[in-house]
Amino acid sequence: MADAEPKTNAEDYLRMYRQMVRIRTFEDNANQLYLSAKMPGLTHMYSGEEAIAVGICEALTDEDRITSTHRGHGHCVAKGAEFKEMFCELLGKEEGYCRGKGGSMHIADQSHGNLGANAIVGGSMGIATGSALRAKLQGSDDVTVCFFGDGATAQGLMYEVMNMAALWKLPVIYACENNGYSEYTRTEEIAAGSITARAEAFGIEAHQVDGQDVLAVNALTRRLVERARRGEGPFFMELMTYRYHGHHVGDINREYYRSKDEEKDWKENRDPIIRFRAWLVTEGIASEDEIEAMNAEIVKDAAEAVSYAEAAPYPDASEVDMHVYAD
Amino acid sequence: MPHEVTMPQLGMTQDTGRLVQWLKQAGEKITRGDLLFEVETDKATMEIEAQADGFLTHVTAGEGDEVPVGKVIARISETADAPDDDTPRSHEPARAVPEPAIPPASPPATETTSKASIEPPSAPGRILASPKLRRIAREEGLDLARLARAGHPQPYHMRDLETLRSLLPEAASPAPSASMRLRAACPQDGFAEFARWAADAQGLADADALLAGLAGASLGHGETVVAVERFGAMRAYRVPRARRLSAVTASDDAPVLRVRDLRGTAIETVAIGAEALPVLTITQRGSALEIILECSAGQMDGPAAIALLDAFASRMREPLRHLF
Repeated sequence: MADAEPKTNAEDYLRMYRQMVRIRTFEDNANQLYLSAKMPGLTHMYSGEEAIAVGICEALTDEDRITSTHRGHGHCVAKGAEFKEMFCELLGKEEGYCRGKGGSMHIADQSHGNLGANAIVGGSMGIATGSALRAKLQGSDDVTVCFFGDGATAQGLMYEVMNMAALWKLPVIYACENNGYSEYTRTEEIAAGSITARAEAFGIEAHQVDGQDVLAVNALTRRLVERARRGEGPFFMELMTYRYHGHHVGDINREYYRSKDEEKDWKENRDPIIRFRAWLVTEGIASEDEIEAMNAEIVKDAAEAVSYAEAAPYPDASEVDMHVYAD
Repeated sequence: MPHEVTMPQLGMTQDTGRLVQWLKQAGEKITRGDLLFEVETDKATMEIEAQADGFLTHVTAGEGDEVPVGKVIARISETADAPDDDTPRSHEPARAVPEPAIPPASPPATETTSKASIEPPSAPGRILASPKLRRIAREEGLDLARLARAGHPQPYHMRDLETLRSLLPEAASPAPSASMRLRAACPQDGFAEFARWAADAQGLADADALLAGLAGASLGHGETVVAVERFGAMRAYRVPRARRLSAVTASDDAPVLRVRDLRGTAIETVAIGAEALPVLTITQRGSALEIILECSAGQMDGPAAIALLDAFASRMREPLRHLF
């Protein structure tokens, strides 16, 4: 694990661990809900990438904004969302964050600065950059983090907004979650050259970091956020990670593009939760028992939230055009 | 508490899955991660892993059943002979979706067209269909173009398979005798320029008379009557034995051959089947022409059809050949 910065304390570490486990647990439940045909639409699992969302969001405040992706449950949890409202949203229920209209791929939680998931690959890059422009014009010191995957680096929008952000020194951090696969294709087969070099071409300072190391991600993000607040942005991070599930929940027979051995290796040897758990025990921050108790509590929370959401009412039909704008 | 095995939802538009086969038998010991059963969706066939340890019990779905997603099809219990509990779960046969009546062993599509057919009929352009439907259609010898011709909107998925199968008998019974379809490519349209020249230099302003003259002469059996059809309107012309284009005249007699001129329309090719008389259809792609001859075996035999189409296509490409 990367060296911890001195000012963080045991509570911060435990919260990071807890948030990572909450994401993993949320996804396990969401996966089962989907496979058992209780959830409409389509959904994409964040499992395996938890250290990125948590490492980054733990360096942000509620005033800071993020934009999320189609694989966005992890970002939403990490930015402070509650299980109940999230499961309600996934199931289309009235108490969901978007009153059930957003679902898995359009969930937004403005109360914690999550401007929303986006079903369009790379679709939130303009929104994140616009948010940073807003901060600059208003003279506020909040920072916007734009999450996107390696596949999104093929979108032209990214190059347009990085150009603007660099010209105007906007407080935005582009966080590329490189999980090695663009849908069903190895990223090295679709992306020529280096990903960080794409940002460097615009004069944007770019870093590559181990996305399975929550402390490394958090330490880097905290430094970049502080500098972005001082007007030194934008920045670019490439976070090397791995998605445990398929591209989407139905992508279950994957051997034709990715071997089981490779998946096993990442899960057993590079899992962000297992690694951080071992570090917490070694450093004496938590005992195995305490960690097990924490895990069990989260599993219980999630199960309760799922039951609650399953029983919760759908929005009234009269709401069908509420919060829908045509202009 | 026993774990319920459900028919998984694996995609956005999936309502049911077909249980292809159980990879474990009832009573067998199961370890989480074991391949439990194989399911076929509208897109693919997938192997489903067990999500719990235990013994496979209460199997309610049989191989080949079409099962709604989310429906319980078995349990993984703590013992191999776990008793039924009181909860009235789905113990009725899981076959909620009636198996559609599939005509046994549909005849391959190749048999539906005549042995004399040189090219199987196909609709214009590429047909949009799922890979799985394409594969099954190919295996069963079904032509996806039939769906397009019958006016069903593309793209086609597995749910269209029954429709496609049901289309077969209708298409398989062409009227009196099997139809022939021959296609000729004309890389260059020589006719348009020839018609302009004939109008300007020879005063032969009726291009349809020229077309009828070239087609009639291609038949090669003396005086004849040829109809030219364009946009549904038809005019017949008498083509004299001497083949002189200036001697082609309008006629009210019944034609023996029809020229369907689809140049200038968006239609790229046709496969209509045999009609009351042999039809030569002309379509245009850029500067090239495609000419299709469709007729029944009763109207014309293979060699005669080939001779007619070859002669007509040669004339359309190079109208001067008409002189020879």
